[in-house]
Order: sequence, then structure tokens, then C-alpha cells
Amino acid sequence: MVALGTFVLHSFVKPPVTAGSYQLHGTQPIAGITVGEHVADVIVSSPRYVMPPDQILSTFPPAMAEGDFGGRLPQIVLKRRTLPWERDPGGPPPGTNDPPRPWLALVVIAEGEGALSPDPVPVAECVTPGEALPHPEDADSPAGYYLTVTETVVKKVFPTVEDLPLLVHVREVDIRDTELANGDDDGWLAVVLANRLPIAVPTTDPATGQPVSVPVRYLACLLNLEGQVDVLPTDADLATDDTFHLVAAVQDLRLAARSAASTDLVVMGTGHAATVTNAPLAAPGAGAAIGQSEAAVAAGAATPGSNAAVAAWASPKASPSAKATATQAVDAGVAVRKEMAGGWAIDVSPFVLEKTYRFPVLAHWSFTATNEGDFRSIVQALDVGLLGTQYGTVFSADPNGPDPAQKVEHVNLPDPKAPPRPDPPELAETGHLALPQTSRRGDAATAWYRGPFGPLPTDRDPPDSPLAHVSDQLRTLTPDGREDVSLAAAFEIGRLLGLSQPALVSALVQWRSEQFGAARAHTIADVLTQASPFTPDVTRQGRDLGRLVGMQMMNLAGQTPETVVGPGRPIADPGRPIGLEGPLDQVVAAGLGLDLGQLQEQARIRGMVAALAGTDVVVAGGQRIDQATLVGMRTTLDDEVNRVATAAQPRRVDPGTGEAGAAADIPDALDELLDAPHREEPER
Amino acid sequence: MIMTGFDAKVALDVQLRAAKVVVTDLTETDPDDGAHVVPGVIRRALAGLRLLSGVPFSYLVPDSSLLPPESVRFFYLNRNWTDALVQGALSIGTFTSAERIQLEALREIIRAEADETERTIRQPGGEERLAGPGGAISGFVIRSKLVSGWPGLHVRAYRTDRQQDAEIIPESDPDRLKVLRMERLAPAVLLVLFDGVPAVVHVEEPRQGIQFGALRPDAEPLSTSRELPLRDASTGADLPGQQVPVPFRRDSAGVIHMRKLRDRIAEAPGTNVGGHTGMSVDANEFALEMLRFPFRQVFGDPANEPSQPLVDVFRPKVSFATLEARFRAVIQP
Repeated sequence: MVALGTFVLHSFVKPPVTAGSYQLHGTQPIAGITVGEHVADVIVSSPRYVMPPDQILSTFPPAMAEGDFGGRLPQIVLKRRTLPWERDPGGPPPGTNDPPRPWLALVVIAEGEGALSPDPVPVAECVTPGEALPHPEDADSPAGYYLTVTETVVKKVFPTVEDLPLLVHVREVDIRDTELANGDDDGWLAVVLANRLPIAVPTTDPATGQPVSVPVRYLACLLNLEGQVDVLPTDADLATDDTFHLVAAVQDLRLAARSAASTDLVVMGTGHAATVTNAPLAAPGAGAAIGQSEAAVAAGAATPGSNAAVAAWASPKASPSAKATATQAVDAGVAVRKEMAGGWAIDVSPFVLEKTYRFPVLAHWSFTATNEGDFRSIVQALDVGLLGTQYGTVFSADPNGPDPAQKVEHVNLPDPKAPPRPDPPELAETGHLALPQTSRRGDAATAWYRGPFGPLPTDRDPPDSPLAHVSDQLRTLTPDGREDVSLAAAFEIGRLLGLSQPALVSALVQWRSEQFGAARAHTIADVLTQASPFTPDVTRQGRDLGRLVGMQMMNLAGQTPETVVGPGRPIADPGRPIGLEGPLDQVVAAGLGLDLGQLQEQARIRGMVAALAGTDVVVAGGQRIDQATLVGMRTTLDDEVNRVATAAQPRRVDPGTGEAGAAADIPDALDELLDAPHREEPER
Repeated sequence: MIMTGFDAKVALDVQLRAAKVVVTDLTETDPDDGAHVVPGVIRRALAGLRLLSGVPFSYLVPDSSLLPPESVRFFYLNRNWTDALVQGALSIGTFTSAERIQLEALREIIRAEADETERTIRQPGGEERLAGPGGAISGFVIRSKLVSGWPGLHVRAYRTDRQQDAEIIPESDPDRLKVLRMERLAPAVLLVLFDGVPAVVHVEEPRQGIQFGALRPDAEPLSTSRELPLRDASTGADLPGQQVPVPFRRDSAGVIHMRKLRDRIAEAPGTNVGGHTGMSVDANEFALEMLRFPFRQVFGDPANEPSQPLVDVFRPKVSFATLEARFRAVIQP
């Protein structure tokens, strides 16, 4: 068990056996008898083509998310800790001391770098044609998705053989920390990391010259590498840089698809569609990502505007969303999956010349990377100040500071290259702002206004200050001749906001008509009872006031019961002291009728427990209790119980005689009063 | 009706019974709130107004230059302004002088009860209900991509600076200020009101779970390189100042060259990695190095930093002195 709020990282958890068929042989050698061998077939199963949804705890980035993930590795968290090692992926034999090689890898590809099968196909077709996975009968699902990628993409994007163990680890978390493992049962999780930071592509806006970023859609696929580890790159043949290459995709198959398809269409004479749109291919929001490079290629192919036709060519079926709305019966989950895979629905095989590979996809999701800056850079670049500040301080490199490279908090001075900032309005140190005002006579003037937020603490008016009934009561004139309409504006907007809620209006009116009278009586009663709490003149002030006085008295009595009613009885009385004469062991021994001397002597030899065990129990008197004694004891006990019960029973004062007695039977004046309405003939 | 034997004790008994009926008559007993004079519907509507719910944004921030893009503005709430707001709502349906006098007589009760209800408008689960007289309210309004891009920001305000503590203390703790209102007024504008004046405010990245990755150098959003701050794999402690550049595969967009990265981690002194398997860095050690925690920005009082006096933070066009001189010229010609 890990400590609260902590977690432990493990490199791997290898299961004792991997998935597959096993035979269990059992023999029982018994001398002289021949026992037949027991053979049992055991199948150890594990997901192979489809990851069960209940095994996926979370993904990062979340599916369909849009944000700046350029500093974070995508990951998928699986619930069974042994899952990444339950199959043998094959490949070059690892070294003796190397960690086991996982069969799962999380691969992140940008839009256009690969093709995801639009529909599940039989699992035999999920691997590269010509390849066959061992034990084809070991399939958890009859059909699965597959990813088609070219050799270029495999070499540039896929993890190397040596990377595989590094990208999978096991996390043991404290299950009480629900933020980490909601729904997981034992707190052990397997985490598969991708090896690619999902970057957006910074580019320069030709209009303003400012750097802007183009969002890029990425597809994260959890791949089964079984039997195809050999096609992965190795560390040896990879060059490296300390900065990454700024390109949206290492290879955009859609361009090839477009030119191939366009040529075909041109030949057939159907290639000149009307509009340039890549909507069916690219998901919403990703159009800009591919706009630039595509435009160039499309122009080169001299067939602009054939995209709609290409879309129909590339994915013969209608777009997933259209299909979903058309049939109304498509499973929502399927529709979402297809929508997410929209940018990767390319038919690769007809036109790609290099070798392509297929990998079974156990799980996939897509997300969009933008380049808006990460949380830290944005929050540190915030302009900080009190309200009323036009431009406050920022935390960045100060061009006027002693060290232009050092990031310090400094005044947010205007950038000479930036477009001019708006002129600040007339703003007083009190937080008042001079706003243009049309006076009631129609004159154009300026008035002071300050909202509820100010740069300085203000004193609140005392509770008994006069109440405004119309907003004009709150208009004030400053000595410079201008009006201060802050509070008047607040009054008016409060009134309008109240009037905008019919329920509030009716509640106010109802409260006014019903409750004001009661509240007034309450106030009068407060005054009266505070003056003389115990001498109310009940008859003179009428019935309601009498009740109020009673209530007030009850409240007072409840607040200080010890002075009004008397001190409370302690919850428990102290018990009778037990007199012990002499040492404890003597008392106990005498009470049990044991011979202490003999016992102590035995205890010295054998120990006290053994000595006690060896001593006979003394039977008192040695006689049975006869029937008469028993009856006598029972009677005494009953009497005592009756006496205690009678004493504990509440007694009430008989109003007629003033004597105390059991109140159960004798009706008093209050009972009469209560019974009065039920009598058939009221007493008059 | 003639009652015999009707002495003072019985009279009192009857009165006490009757009093219970009157209590329910006089005051509105709210199952959530207890007994009050002002009905719960009105009280909560008034308290909501006090917290500026529904008030048009131009009334809160009257000029766009007071809240430029990518800015955060702290403020004190002007209680007189919100009281005027409530007076406006209360003035609905007062037609006669009698009604106004009645309202005037009740104004202190209404104000006290609205003060009390302010704290019950926002009650997160598991937090204690806080009560007490109305005090100072402060807050901030933030207009930034942070609000739209990171929904579910954590905002906490503390009366005393407890930056060292990693623990998250409940809102009822005396060192922490209750958040009276936290609402997105627009996709990129967040308004937060605190019950009191905080010394520090923490704004934290939403905790969507554990993430792995590397940092942009110097927080440049368009940088094409990444840096990895290192940790000691044997203790998990940060190694301050130690970081390695992240190597990427040539001609690949954002693909990390893992082999080189782990070699760099292994070569860095103090990381204590490797040795358990044949690899220079084990998978769990690699994960530890790549672990990124949610970022927490701490806003403090600028007066705490002697290099940045308050006058640099708030620079109005019209100073107190100018106003006074101008007013005196009018008053005493």
C-alpha cells in the first residue's frame, strides 16, 4: 500500500505466462499401478485486436480536445498492470538483462500521415498483407481497425525497437486519491506513452508579419506490434537534432491521394468541381492546418477545386456525420469514432509507391494541437494590476531594464512596434471614470461613474443610513460640477434586474402585504419583553401579543435554563465507593475462598497461571437454593423495580389541590381545554 | 366560557404551545437556512444581486481599457454600490408612503440577513456552512486565453501566505478565504469574489491527472526546442538548475529521439538512474524524469516587493491631489 497522496513507478510487471494455448500435463506416479496422464488444454487470453473499454482508464490529451499539448507526451492508462506484456511481440532477441518488450505502442500521427480503416475489417486483414500473426485462432474479436502507414512514416514517427520498453511503465497509486484512479480497483495501472510531442506549426501571418500558429490534428493509436517489430526503426539509423522540424506532417498522403485521384478524374473528364473545400476530408478546425501546403500542390496538379470529388473518391460512403443524421439509427459511439477518424480516412493502396504497413489498432482517439502557449507561459505573461489600471505589470524581459535577457516583473510599457493603444479615459485615483453623458436637458456632458469594483477599499455606510426609494436620491454632484451617477446607476440596474424576474416581484409584493404586519408585531414584542420579560399584561394587548410574550419567555428560559429553571442534574451519579481492606490478592483470594498461602507457594514453583489451573474451584455452601428462597428473592426484586419506576415517572401538579400526583388518570384544566372542541355540547 | 382552576402555570403552558405556532407564522423557516424575517426567495435573490449576478458587464468594468486582453485585475468590492443595487430591487412595488415607511423600518434586518445569505449562495460539497456579519469583499476579474483554454481552473485565496504547504486546506480554514462567487462571464472572462482581502491568490492548472512531457525554454510559445528539468531518481527530488535539451529525430515533427534523451539523462550528474536492467534508464525512471505537475501561479501583494511600489501598479490619470486642487478651486473661489 502506498502512502496517501503518493505513487510508485515500476518499470514493468511481467506476467508468468503470455497469452496463447497451453497444455497442462499431470502425472501421478504410484508404485505398482499405472495411472493415465492427465492432459488439459489451457487458453490464456488477452486483448489482441480490440481494447475492451473497461480496460482504458484515461487518455491524455482527452479525445476531441483542443489545446496546447506541445510540451506533453500523449498517453493512455490501462487498468491491468500486466496488459502490455501479455503477448510476445517477437523481433530481435533482447539482451539477457534487458527488460521485457511490450507488444503495445502508442503512436501519434498527424493528419495525412496514415490511414485508419473506416470500418472494422476481419482481423486477418489487419496486418500487413503477406504477414500472418501466429495462432490466428487467438482473436478476441472477429473484426478490428487497422492503421496503414508508409515506410517513411514508420521510420520517422514510430518508436524504435529499443524505445518500446522505455515508453511503458506501471504506476501504483494510492486508491484513496480518486483524482488518479477513479474506478480502478487495486491502484495498479499500466501507462503507455507516445514518443511524439503533438506540436502545432508556427508560421508567419503574411498580413501582419506576426507569428501565428496553425492547429494540427493528431490521431493517437494504440497499436499491436506482434510479428512486426522488425519493421520498426532502430536507434542506429536515426539522426538527431536539438530542435524539431517544423512541419505539420512528415508525409501527407492526402496530397498524393489528391493528385492521383485528380489525374484520374481529369482523364475521365469529371474533375472540375465547383468549390474548393476539404470539409469531408479534414475535420472542423483543421482546414487551416493543411490549407497552405495543399494549395501549392493542387495548383501544381492544375486541377484546383476537385476536392469534393476527391472526398467522394477517397471515402465512397457519405461523411460519418451525414450518415448518422440520415439513418438516425447509427450507434452514437460508432458515429463519434468515425468523426474522430475523419482526417485519416484515406484509401492509400492505389497510389502510394513505397511499401506500406498495416498495424492492428486496439484503440484510437484524435485531438487538435494548437500553439497558444502553455499554461505557464500564458499565466506569467498576464498583465497584472488593480482594477482601474490601464496597463499594469507583466512578468517578462524588460527592454528598459538593466538586463534585457532577465525576466522580471515590470511595467507593461507599450511596444513601439505594436499598433497604438487606445487612449485611457479620464480616470480618477478613486476609481471613478469620466463617461460621456447626455443630461436630462439633452446637453452632452461627462459624468463620473465607478462600478462595484474599485482599486481602493471603501467604507460601507452604517446600517441605519437612509434607504433610497428612487434612483435620483442617489445622484450626487461633485464639486467640479459633474454628476456622480455610480450609485444611481446601481439602483436602476438593481431595480431592472429585480423586475426581470416575475417570481421575485410577486414574492416581494406578497411579503409586503402579509409579513410586514407580523414583523412589526415582532418588533413591538421585542421592545416590550426586553423592558420586563416576566410581567406581561396578557389581557390588554390582545391574543397575539400574549403568544409573543410566551414565545419570548420560552426563548429566554431556553437561553439560560440554569438561572430560570435551576441547575441541571448530572448525567451520572458517582457510584458507591468500594472498601478494600488489605492487599488486593488477599481480598480476592478470601472472596473466592482460596488458600492464598498455598497458592503463592505453588506459584513460586509452577507460576501463577499453572497454580490457579491446578486449584479446585471452591463451591459456596454446597447446597441448592430452595423454592421458597427463590420466590422471596423474586418478590424483593419486583418491589425494587416498581419503586425505581415510580420514582422515575414524571409527576405533575394537580391544579385543583396543588398536590403532586401521577398525571396519568386525573384530567386537569389543560386536558379539559384541549378536549373542549371535541365535545358535542360545548359548556357555556 | 368559565374556566376553573386556571392558574398562572397553566396559562404559561398554553402560551408556550401557542408560541410555537406563532414562530412559524412570523418567521419563514427555511429547511436549509433556519428562521429569518425575509422570505428565502427574496433573500437569495438579494444576496445574488449582492454578488452581482446578472449585472451587465459594462456596469462592472465600464471601459475596455480597464481590462485589456490577457490581463488580470484585482479589486475591492464597493459595498455601497451593491447596497444601492439591493435598494433598487427592494423598491419594486412600493407605491404608497406607508409601504416605504415599512420598508425603511425593516432595512437593517434585510441588510443583515442578506449579508448572512451571501455566504450560502456558493457552497461546495463537503464544506462547512460559514456564517457571520458581512465584511469586506475583494476579488479579481481575469480576461485571458487561460479561462477558455483551461476550463476548471483552481482558484484559492489565503489570508496568510502559505505557499510552502503542498496541502490543500478547506475553505472553512481560518487561513483561507471563502470564494463567494466564481463564474465565467464570457468564454474568456472569469470573475471571482472572495470573502475578505487575501494576501496571496493561487491560480492552478486543472488537475486532469498526471502528465508527462518537457518544458518550453523561457516560456516561448513558438520555440522549436524543449528542455527537460531533471530529478534524482532515487529520491524523486528535483535537481534545481539541472536540465537537458530534448533531442528530436531529424526531419520528424516533434518525435523525440528516446535513445539520445536517455543517454543525456544518464550522463547528467545526480540523477542516479539505471543499473537495474540492461538499459541506461529504466522505464520507471524515465517516467519520473518526464513527470510534469500542474503549474500554480501565485499572485501576491505588490507591496511585498520593495522594487515594485503600488504607484507603479495603479496609475490613474487624475490623482487625489489634482482632484482636491480642482475641487478647492470650485468651492473656494
